[in-house]
Amino acid sequence: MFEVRKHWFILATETFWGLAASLAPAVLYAVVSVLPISLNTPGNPIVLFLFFYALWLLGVTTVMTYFWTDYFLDVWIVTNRRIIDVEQKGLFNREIATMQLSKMQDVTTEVNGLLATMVGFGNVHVQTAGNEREFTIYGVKDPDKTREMLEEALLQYGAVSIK
Amino acid sequence: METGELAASHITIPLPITPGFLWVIFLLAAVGFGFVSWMFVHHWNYYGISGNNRVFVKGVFFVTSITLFVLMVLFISAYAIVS
Repeated sequence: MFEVRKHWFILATETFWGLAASLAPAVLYAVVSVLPISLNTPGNPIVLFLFFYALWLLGVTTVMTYFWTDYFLDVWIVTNRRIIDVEQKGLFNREIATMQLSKMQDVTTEVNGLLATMVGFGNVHVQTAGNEREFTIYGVKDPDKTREMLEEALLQYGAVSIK
Repeated sequence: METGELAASHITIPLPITPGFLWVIFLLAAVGFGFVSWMFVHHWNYYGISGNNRVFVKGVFFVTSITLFVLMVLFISAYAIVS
């Protein structure tokens, strides 16, 4: 039995954008402070800005935590009988699909782009027999190795899963 | 003449945000945070994210969020004192 997960680089990219977003209000403030604009507020405008900055950071923290949760909840679990595809779609939608190893027909991998090639991640598609849905997992670490492991599992356990 | 031109080009934007309004925003944020954190904890516990990862993200999420809430309270208080 083994698990197939997204590459850590996917999470790192999302984290990078989160960090960039957390700095955005500070950059905006620096730009606006140069302009000939002043705010007429009942209190100190800098304190008001800091309040909204803290609120913004709370939102960024929540979104980054969501990315992290989504990263860990999207997984393929390959057992000696089947593939279990667990996909978290937002906080309120979760999809779990299973496929018998014996129904696995084609395993396709694709690595798109410079970053994916250099870092070593890509997509894995598993085509099933009949009209059943195709299984796809995006941004997997070392997709070719994953394909080999899936084909090995099919050779080793494909007959078992028919029982 | 030059000073007059500078004064004419300076824009003042009225922003009548009162401390009361900030408290309302704070309360809405607190309610939203309570709901979202309950959802996160439910997902982490129910769907079985492994121990170390869960402890790490729980720590980062709650420590950061609570710190930010404390800062927001301080900022509202400071804003109210000045106004």
